Amino acid sequence: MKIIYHCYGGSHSSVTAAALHLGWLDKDKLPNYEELMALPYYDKTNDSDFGSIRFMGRDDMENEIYVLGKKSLGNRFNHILMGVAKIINQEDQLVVVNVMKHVNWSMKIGGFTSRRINIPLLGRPVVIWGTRKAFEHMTRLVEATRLRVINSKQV
Amino acid sequence: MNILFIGSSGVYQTVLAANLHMDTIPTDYKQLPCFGDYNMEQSGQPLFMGIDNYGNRIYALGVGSDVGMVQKCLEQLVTILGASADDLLVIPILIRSQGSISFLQQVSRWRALRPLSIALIIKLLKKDLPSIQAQLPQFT
Repeated sequence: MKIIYHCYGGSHSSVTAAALHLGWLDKDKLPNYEELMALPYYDKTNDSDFGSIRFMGRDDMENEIYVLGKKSLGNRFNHILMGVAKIINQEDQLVVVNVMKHVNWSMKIGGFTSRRINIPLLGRPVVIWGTRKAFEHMTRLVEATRLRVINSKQV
Repeated sequence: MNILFIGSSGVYQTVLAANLHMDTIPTDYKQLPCFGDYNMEQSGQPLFMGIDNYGNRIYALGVGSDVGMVQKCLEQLVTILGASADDLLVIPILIRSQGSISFLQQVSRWRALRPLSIALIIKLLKKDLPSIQAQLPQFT
């Protein structure tokens, strides 16, 4: 099964969620600056990465985990991706998760400052602070996603 | 094969392109299936338009202003899901009036302005018809 976590830029919340899913981050411990910055793609993307589905790794159930930045397309993007998967009869092989609902203002402002106007010195500490603040919500989202995947495999 | 026409709107230029491709264009665009149907558009699902002369299943989908980004994403998705370009061909329909059409689409949320905005959209589409025709896939 392929699981795609998506957010605005595919750089912070989706990467954090994917890392939680893959067990790269401990769900019971708030990650620090170094741990977050060690994640692939975390606060390292540029404009050409929008729309790119990037492979993060395989989880313990052999599911492939991806991240994606889809700008402001919102929840509708879930339907677009699932609709296309349905056209090619692969909808049971795809799970799409919108992480945007857990993105707080610190992540938005920090992410914009770091990636969009390219001032990471200012934006990075803010986005990391925001990521830590949203960490518990993202942990719950990932747990729910893992359960959803397990249940769909059992059906 | 499946052919998916994508554009900023899923119920105007993409519907028109799909029907041009299938050679099923009525004189009155409002008779086209799904034309101007915002409820269908909001679902975010590709809209099935019909089957062309080559047996391909034809769909239309609205993806917002950054059509190129979504095209790239959908083509990668097809590969990731183990399918190929032979399973799904994504055709972007880019027209000069797409910004104006998006604006008129917003305007038509006011019921009183809807007939006027649809009439203006049809006028813009007719102006962009040669451009849409030039973007249709050519099969030999």
